[in-house]
Amino acid sequence: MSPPGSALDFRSAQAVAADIREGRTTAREETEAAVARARTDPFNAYTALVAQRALAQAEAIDADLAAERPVGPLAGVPFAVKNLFDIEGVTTIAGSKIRRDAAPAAHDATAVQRLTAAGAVLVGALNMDEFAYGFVTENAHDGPTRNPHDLTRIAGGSSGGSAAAVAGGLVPLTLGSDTNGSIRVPASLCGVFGLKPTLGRLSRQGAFPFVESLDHVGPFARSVADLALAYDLMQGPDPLDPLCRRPAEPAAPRLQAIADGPLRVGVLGGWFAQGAFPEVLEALEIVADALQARRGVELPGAEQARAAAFCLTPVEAAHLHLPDLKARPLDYDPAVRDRLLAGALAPEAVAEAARRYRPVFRDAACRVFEDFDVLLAPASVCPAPGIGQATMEMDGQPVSVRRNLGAYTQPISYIGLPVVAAPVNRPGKPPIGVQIIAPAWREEVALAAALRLERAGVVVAHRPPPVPPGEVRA
Amino acid sequence: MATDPALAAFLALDDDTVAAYADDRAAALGLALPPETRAGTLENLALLRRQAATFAMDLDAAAPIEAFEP
Repeated sequence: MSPPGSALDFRSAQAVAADIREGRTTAREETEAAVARARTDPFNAYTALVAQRALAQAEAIDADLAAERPVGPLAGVPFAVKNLFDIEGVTTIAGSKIRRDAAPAAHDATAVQRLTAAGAVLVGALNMDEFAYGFVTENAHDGPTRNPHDLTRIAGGSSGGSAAAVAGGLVPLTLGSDTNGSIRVPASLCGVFGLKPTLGRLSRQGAFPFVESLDHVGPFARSVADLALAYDLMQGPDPLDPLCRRPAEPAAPRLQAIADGPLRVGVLGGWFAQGAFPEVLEALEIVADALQARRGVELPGAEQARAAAFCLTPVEAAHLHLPDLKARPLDYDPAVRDRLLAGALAPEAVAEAARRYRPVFRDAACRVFEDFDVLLAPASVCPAPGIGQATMEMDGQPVSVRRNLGAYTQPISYIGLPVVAAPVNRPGKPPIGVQIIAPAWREEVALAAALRLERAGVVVAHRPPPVPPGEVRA
Repeated sequence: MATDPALAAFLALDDDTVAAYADDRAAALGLALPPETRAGTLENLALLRRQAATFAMDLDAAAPIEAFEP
């Protein structure tokens, strides 16, 4: 084990829990260490700490252990959440200036409640793109989150703080949200595992909404086992989220058997192969080879699905923001504001058309899954761009970084399919992830494929280089 | 061809007519466009129109929209 302290810590969540349960450390020591790391966070991942709450919970866990009372599977494990999740007593800013004066949340979000009930100790809230509208986490109000693998590069977004905190050894487990790719893109750019579950699988209650018909929440971790455990602990219906009705279907107990069995794997071509950087395609090939995948599988309508998600997003989001767009437009991040204003001005019929196209594309995906258990696609078009980089080249043409980082993730979240973003093992090279996509409600298949790859050393959460002395946040 | 009149009108815009469309819509919504926002908003609105054209042209606007299930 790594000694607790402000040094970055790369143990898995389950290793930390075992160290606490078996008396090699205490929940309080682990919490103090996580808080110390958060206070010296070199990545600008954190935007708020809840140290007092965390220490009180840790002491209660230590008391339970001392009295030999049962504790949860994550007892004493520190975690943190994107700052759009409600934390009791803390204002949910959702990356914005506009919400800084809002009343503190009265309760924890359901996902936070469920991890806390399992013994995980919430340490703080994490940076994000304003209102989750972006792929870069260059927040106009809180500054950019820096990629732990290269502090001059972005962490991706919109859950950039969540990915960087796990990649950088600040905490072993975080939560993020994914509307168009906001878990998968930063997981890819930071070299960690992320899970975007099926739409409606995990409760969004208490997560500040972006596009309600597309919003998902999910975990980041440094191992498949941690990802699966956190996912299982958050499952189950929630009457406070009308989409979250399904009984829990624990994945972790089934992973090994599925990973050891036959898997029919396809690599998506067409839209998912256009414009990708060569190193992205090289990473995808490594994974495809390991899973003996069939190449060039067509998912008809993917380009249209991406366009539909692209249009549905600002039109639906603008409904929520119209009063603030009227009253205080200049308090928004300009990169977010202008897209929301455009969404407000577009006719509602654009969103209706995007909703009409959704089952068309879902049915096309269902037909493809008749021949495959999982599908592979890049998680991002490129490795992490530089902070402040406005454009990049795709197929020889300069294009906007912000508009195109999620080109391969948007079609998949549009129809709510579960995806594991897994970091490809490319020692000494910038992190790149792949999407492992499963049919709806079959998260365990995507997780099992990731587990098989992890055991073979094909995907792994890399440890970033040490942070140079004197590097400061933001 | 889009059958919804509002959608058809939006898709029929070109980059030169987006500004006038935006001004009319903004007035109807009571939404002021501060000078700092105008160029970016128009650029994004034009992009939305181009993107919408890729999937919305051939959809039946009379068909009901289902409560989506993945």
